[in-house]
Amino acid sequence: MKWLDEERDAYLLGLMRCLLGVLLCIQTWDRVDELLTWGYFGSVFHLPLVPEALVPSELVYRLLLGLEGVGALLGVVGWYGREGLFAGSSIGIYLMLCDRLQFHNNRFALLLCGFLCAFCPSDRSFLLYRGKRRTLPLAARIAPTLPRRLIQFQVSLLYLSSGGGKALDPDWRSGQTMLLRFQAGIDEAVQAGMRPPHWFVDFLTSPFVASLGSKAAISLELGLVVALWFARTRVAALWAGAMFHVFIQASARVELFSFLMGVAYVAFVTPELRERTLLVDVRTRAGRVTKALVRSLDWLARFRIEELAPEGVGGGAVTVVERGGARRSGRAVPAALARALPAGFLVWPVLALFVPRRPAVVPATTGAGSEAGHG
Amino acid sequence: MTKESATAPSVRRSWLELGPRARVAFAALYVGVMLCVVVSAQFRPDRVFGFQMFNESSTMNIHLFRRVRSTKRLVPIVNGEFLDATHGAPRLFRWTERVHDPTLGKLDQPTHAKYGLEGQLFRLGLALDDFVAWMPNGFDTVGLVAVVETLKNGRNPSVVRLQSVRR
Repeated sequence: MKWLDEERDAYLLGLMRCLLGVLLCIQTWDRVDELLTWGYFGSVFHLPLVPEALVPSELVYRLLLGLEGVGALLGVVGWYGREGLFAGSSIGIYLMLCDRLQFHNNRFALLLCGFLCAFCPSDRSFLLYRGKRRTLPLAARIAPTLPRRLIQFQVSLLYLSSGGGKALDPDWRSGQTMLLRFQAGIDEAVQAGMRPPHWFVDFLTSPFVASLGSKAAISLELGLVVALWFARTRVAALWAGAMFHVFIQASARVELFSFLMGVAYVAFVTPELRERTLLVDVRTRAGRVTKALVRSLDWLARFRIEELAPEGVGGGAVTVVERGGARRSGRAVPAALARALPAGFLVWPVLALFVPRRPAVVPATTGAGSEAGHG
Repeated sequence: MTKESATAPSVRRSWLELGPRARVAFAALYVGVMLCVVVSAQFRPDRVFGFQMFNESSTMNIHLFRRVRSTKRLVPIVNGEFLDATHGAPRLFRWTERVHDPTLGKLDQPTHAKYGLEGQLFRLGLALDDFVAWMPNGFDTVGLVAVVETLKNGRNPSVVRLQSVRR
């Protein structure tokens, strides 16, 4: 099987390590805050999954939290980043086993992603401690990336379990559970001093809308389990998943879960860099603005930016050459950019509506296709 | 922007860099363990480690009572605290002294049963045991009873009674 021994560019795994380190730092800080507010969990009612003898004393607990934080910080800066992330996430999982009252699905998912990322070759880029030399050359970045597939598996398993559990529950299928969640959300908003308009309250508390929303959520979660794995459906699945998590973040208290899923989605992005080309005419304002915009927002290194030679000018100030070689110009450019830039990804389908039905697509003779078809 | 190093430094080999066989073994082990963890979560009352997000919109309202030596009647615990005495020395006990969990710590008010009713009732039973076992000997209180009004997903209102007696 090609997955077992595939070797890919590990650049994006470095980005994942760095971002997971940031999330783990925040999560650890939250637990320190809980310790300072509520006190040491072991001295009050707690429910360990490990034998009580293995539950750390308060001193050891404080020490472990400190080590978890240090490990997460190492993951951020990249100096022994993999080891740091491994230590931080392993300690986090162990402490979760010491008290199931502290269990939260989002915290567990973050720890697992951190654990898996430590086994990825995520020490080839975003080595912040090296300053400007933070990225190793391509030859040094090519490495076996099987653990990246495990992160993908973990994401799918999460959706399968969450969506499957709901699909088997009659109250979820009928929309009853979601209706009550909507009502609770509105009650909370009112308590917080907000005054949602009546039509909005009526809309959200309609059993029909709740039933539809339930079926859509279940279908989406189960659909993502499969759709994320296929090149043809991946980009649409990532967009739908991103919208889903934006909605969840806005409507429920899920701590870092939406941000975690955003980071985990990076595992589904094509690992190879700069397979798209942005051709800009820097003599025009549009060309200069687009160049600056893409330079600052191309966090996944999707684009190679080239300036149009004077003799090449004539096809517009900006042209995007897609991975497969297709050229996008004019009204097709914003959609082509938004599809590949994380900051614009959520509005990509809207921008795609403005693309002419038959865009000027000129197959190029160069440009290699790749596995994913997205990213 | 990627800023590649001009020189090609040798990559430090991390001990987490697995060889080809170990990599496959690790992947197989991870997949197997995770499947076991998720499947077995269905048999745990609170579904921990099961990724069952937003599984219920149920509520519970916990009322606590004391079982005391001097009477057969249950004595209600008001505001989560009660005064008891041993050898004439009074002591104030608070439920939240021992139970910090935000769901189980809320008494006499409807609370969202996070992770489901079954899970919270399971945890409440253990919390009662823990509280009674923690109380020093010699006090009048010999046990705790929780009367819990439950509403599963807004339907089927029922009352569940849990108790713990000092052994």
